Amino acid sequence: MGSPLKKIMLCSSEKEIFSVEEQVMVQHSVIINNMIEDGSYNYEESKIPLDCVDSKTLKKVIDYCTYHTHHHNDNQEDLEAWDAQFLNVDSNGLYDLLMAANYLEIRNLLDLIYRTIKNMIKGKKIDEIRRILNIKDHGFTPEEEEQNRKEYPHFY
Amino acid sequence: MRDNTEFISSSMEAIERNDDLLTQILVRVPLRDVITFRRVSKRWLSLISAPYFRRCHTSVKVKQRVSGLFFDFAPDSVFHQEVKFFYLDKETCPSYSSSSFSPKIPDLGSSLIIQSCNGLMLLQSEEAAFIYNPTTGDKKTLPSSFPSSDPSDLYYSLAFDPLLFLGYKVICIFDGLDSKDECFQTMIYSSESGGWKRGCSLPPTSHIHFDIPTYFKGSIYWNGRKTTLRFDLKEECMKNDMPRLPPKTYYRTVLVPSSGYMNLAGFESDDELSICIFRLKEDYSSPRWVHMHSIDLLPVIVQTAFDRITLHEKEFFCSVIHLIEDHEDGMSLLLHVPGAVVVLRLKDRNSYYVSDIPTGNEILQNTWGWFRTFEYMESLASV
Repeated sequence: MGSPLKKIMLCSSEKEIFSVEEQVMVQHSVIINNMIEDGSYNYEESKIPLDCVDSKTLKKVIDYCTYHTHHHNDNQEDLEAWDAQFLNVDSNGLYDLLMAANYLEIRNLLDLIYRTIKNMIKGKKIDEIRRILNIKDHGFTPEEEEQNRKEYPHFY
Repeated sequence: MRDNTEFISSSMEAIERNDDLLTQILVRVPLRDVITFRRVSKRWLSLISAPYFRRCHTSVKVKQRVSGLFFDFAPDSVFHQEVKFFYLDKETCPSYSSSSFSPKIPDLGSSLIIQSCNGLMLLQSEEAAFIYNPTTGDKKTLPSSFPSSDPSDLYYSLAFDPLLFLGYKVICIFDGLDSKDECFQTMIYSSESGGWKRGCSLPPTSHIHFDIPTYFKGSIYWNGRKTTLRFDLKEECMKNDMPRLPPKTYYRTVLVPSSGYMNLAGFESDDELSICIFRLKEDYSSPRWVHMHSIDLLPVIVQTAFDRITLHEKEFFCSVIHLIEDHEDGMSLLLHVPGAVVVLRLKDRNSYYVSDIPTGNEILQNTWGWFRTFEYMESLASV
């Protein structure tokens, strides 16, 4: 049989095993690339444990890396449309993805998520930001806060 | 699916609480928002004020645009400035905009604006020179450059160019013509080292306007009557390699970098109402001033007079204030005509009213004065 494509095993926090083309993960994840390069991965036995990434999130991450490996020649608009659809998740899902991308050092996915969160807060007033991010303790004294509101009413 | 209540979730809070993640998000936010967001909380303020953040944010930006002008309505005054701020809108016409963001005009009670350079300003008082950031309101007093000399003999100029070098540099020229050496001496301050060091001295050069510096691509320029001096920041040395100013433009010329070139605008002669614009071209071995436009001012003055005031003076008092780059790499002239400030678009020669010259001062209204303006760019650069 023998697939020409080498596979590696990733293990989620629920101990579910995902088999992925090596090239897909090596191209995107700095951590996995390092593991393969320094020879610490054994193709016969090793499973890379990702204790802080659950199965649902790991599947999303693998989807992202796979798509971007096979479609990197697509035009920019199509890729952006796919990315937008990919990130159409609730904020818990977005957070989980951010943590996974951060852990695996998948730079373009990280950048995509940062930009998505940036778009949520861009152009917003201070009161809206505090509500969106649930910031209850802003740390300013009542006098400072009053002074700021008086000086910059349009910021609030 | 997404609504606001959904965002109020523990996960967004967790992102907010993580300094690294929050910094990575905030460096991607436009500068105007960053300035607003400094008041979200004490923690945001300290993250945004950190040198690391400022460096990240500056490096993300590629090319900055001039977003407004500080306009000095008190011409030719050595002691006093009356500064108003104008936005540049999409048509590149200055206006009082109702935009929520506005920079802080520095306190001009005891100091004057000397120069504005890529988001930082240079101010000078009788005692000292200051670096000021009108976006953040931060101000720093520079250490003394020539401690034993009369501060009124000192001319300062600023070079700040994040794409070329770290921090900013200040050049101080000491007019030592009365001393036994009979030369100008220079000192160079670097914000990276935090101190002054001695630069070259230069032979006496008459009629150079050291009080009006212009920064462009790694050099500071000053116009004289017939020539232009240049201080090369890389070689840290004064150069006299600029072409002579075109004939007849010897009076009231302005040097303005725009569209990636150094430009020169001035009257063709004292009597005529005609302005010439030249561009410095360096495509051959030596740089030269190439004539770009000639503009007859009479139609502009007549139109403005019809629109705004009744003309009763025989003489027209006009001056070139500035050149403004618009979004299609075209240029507009900012002009002082009798009683008003107007913008003249070079592409179609249409003129637009900007502001009256403040009334109450007849001399100010009809003066031959040299109005000045200082560009404003948003920047979080440290002073």
